[in-house]
Amino acid sequence: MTRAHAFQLTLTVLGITVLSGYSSCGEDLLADPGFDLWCGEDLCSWEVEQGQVEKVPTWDERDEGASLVGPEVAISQSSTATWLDAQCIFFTLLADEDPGASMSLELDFLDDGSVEYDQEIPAEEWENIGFHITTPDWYEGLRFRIHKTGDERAVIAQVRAQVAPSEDCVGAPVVLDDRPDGAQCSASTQCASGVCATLDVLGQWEAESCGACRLDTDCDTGEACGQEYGTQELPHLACGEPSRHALGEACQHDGECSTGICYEGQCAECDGATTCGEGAICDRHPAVEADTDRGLEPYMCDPAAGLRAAGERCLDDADCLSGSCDDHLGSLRLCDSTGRPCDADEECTLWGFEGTCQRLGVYQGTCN
Amino acid sequence: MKPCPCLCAALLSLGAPAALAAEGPEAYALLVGSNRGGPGQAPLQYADDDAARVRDVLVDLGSFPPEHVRLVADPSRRDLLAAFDLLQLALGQERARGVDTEVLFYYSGHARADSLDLGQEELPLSELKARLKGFGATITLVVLDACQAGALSNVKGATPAADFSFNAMNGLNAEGLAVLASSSATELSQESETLGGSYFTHHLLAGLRGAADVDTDGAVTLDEAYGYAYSRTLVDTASTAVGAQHATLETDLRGKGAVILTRPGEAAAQLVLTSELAAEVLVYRENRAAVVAEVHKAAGNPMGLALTPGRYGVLVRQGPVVRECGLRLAEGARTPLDPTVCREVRVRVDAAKGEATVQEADRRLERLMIETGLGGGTLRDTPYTERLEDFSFGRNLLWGNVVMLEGSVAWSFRRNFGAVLTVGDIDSDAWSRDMYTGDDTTSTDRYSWVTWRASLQGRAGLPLAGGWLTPYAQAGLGPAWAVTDWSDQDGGDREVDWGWHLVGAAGLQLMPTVRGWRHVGLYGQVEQSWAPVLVNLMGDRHDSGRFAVIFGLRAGF
Repeated sequence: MTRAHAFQLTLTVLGITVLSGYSSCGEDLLADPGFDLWCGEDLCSWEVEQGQVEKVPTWDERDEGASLVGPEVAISQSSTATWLDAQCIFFTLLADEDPGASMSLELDFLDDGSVEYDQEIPAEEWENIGFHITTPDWYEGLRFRIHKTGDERAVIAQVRAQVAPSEDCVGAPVVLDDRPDGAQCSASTQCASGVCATLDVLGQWEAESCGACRLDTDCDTGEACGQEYGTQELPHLACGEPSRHALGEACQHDGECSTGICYEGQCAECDGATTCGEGAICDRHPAVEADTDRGLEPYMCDPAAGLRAAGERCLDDADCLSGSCDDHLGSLRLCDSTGRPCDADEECTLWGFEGTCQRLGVYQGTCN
Repeated sequence: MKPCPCLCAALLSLGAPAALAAEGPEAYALLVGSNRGGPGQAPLQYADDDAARVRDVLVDLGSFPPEHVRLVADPSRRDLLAAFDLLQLALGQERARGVDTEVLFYYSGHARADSLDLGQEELPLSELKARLKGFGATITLVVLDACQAGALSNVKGATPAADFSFNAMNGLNAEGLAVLASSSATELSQESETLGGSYFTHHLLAGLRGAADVDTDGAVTLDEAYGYAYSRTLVDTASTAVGAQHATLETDLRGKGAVILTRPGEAAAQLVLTSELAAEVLVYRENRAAVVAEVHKAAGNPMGLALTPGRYGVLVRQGPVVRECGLRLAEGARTPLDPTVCREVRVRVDAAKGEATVQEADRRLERLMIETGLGGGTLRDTPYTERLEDFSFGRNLLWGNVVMLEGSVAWSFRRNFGAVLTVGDIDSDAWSRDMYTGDDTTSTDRYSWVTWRASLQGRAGLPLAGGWLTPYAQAGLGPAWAVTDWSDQDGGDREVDWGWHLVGAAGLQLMPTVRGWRHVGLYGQVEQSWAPVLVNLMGDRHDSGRFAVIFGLRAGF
């Protein structure tokens, strides 16, 4: 098994692990589900977006709940859960509402103000309501909202959202569109940009993420479509300055590389023996730091065969006749998991897998 | 020369049988016991037994030749007259041989003022008198243990005897008729369940055994026997519902000297009650087969009771203390009774008589009991606990949920019945829930309760095996209160809910009655209670009662 194949296998296993539910089943996603925490007359963990909430006794004077007072009341709480934490949520509500009142559960999977899930939750005489929710395949910034309408009384004793095993959710996942760039996608309709593109990451694996382009032709004149890194873990394709990525950086197209060649997911000096000089061989340049089984080795012409003259590309001092590779632009450090530039290992976590920020070599180096 | 014309040979000679019966007149006895009642009369229980006891005394102690004693049980008028005929024939034969005769006629049964009742038939007293006189015996002693028995004494020439008179007659040679009746002409005669016979016959026999020997000369005269039977019968019947019963003695005797009935001083075996002893003494045959004598022994003079050799039990009551002895009377021995070596037993109150009497020692009554028990009960799911589960509480299974403690004070106010005051916990439970409070922290809410009760129950028991085992059942009610404890991140709180409860139980008590282990025992019972004390704001009620099995200790006082 080659090093690349081993990496792919590892990622596959990790992917299965991730898809099975990163967080523990039964874990609460909502704080203070029992409305026990009051900051004076206000709830500590819940935001009252509309109307008024009062503290009232439930089955016992000492176990309090929240009465939603008024014809229109909404309380919400934002959860830090993402698509990596919970693919299946078990929601329960213990409440008592008079016939003239109506409550519903609203979920905002991007916490952007748009409700992707709205379910009426009738609860009479302290009925315990529970149901499963299949989350979108990707989301972040989940906000739970309880919305009450009607003048009649409605009292909530408990609201719980707990991570459930994926196999418990048999319904269709909630549809989440308008995903930002870098969000995982399976169709362009899911993306705010309207583009869901397949990325080649370091030549090791493929990812589908929302982006701005697929090809250079999708960009404005003078711009090139290439891999970029935003707030999301996944890279995405975006339009930008041509040749903006240095030798060794992750890439999608030739136009984004300063070398003009994107080969095996990295900006390279060659894409095979055909682009090197006579007698030169196109091969992977060993990364400066050890433990490079992630494949952070860009293709260069005879990287170890001969020393380079002044002005030629170099990654390391050892590449140059002069023994000096100009590093005035600094070192190129890349995540071995994504090939994205980084400064620390913490930037290299992908789906819970902890990558390493490794020094590839000199950034845009030329031999002195 | 005939010895004193004592009726000891004819009646109740309790001494050496050969020495008393071999000389003197021939003694015959006709003993009648009739339980049957006539119109409007309830059957008696012990008339035949009384007659049999008289026979036993006459025959077993050798006073009368067995062949001269005839026992007739529940006779018809014809049977009785036939018995009279046979007796008269025998007496006639004796007279023909020139032998003096002594006759004892004993009747125990129903009677009216003018007749003996033999079931649906009757024998007029006038006829009875005629037949008795027709015997022609030297001395005829009639003992009637029947209602209005004194009516027979209205015989011509008969003189009523004064109460407690002795030596009613002068002279050494008495002849004629004496009628000893259990009650006056207007009174009823009574039987005693406790004695298993009639009061009068019981005390008469005890007196003849020696209890009536007030001058301690070793002989019991007619007057002594009458005086003793009169006083003891009067004492025992004075507090009964029927009323006091006065025995009577009417005599038509000629001659001089007291009529000696028995000589207990010459008996084959004798139980001696010492002069310093002052107590109620009950003597019964081994294994409590029969009560032989019940006497009131006053301090001052010794008392000897003539008994056949053998094993006996004796209950001695001195005030509230009752002791029981077992002893063997040897042939020819005078055995003194020493109560100090007897074991102490408990006194049973005979509510019907209104006084404490000495009963069989194995039926004990522990008046006051202190009890403590430990047990376990089932956990119950009720709407109240289901509501807790709805509110995400989970039950914490602790030992305290199952274990129950109780303490009781029991008071027995009758032999088999009593009241029990019990305090204890009948239910306890603990619940908790974890609530996520954010930032990877949780808080735990806890809710628990213990339900207590104070119940007053009535208890009925049936002592068995000499009081060793007593199955019992009890039931009652009383207040119950549940102490609930709540704690969460804001602190804790305790409340008390009040209510009431019902409880019933059945169990078995083991209370050994061996020397040195008398007041402490064990009990085991199953119990079911109902105590709907807890109720939440939603109206869900929790019945704190449950089924439990409890074991414990009881100490009696």
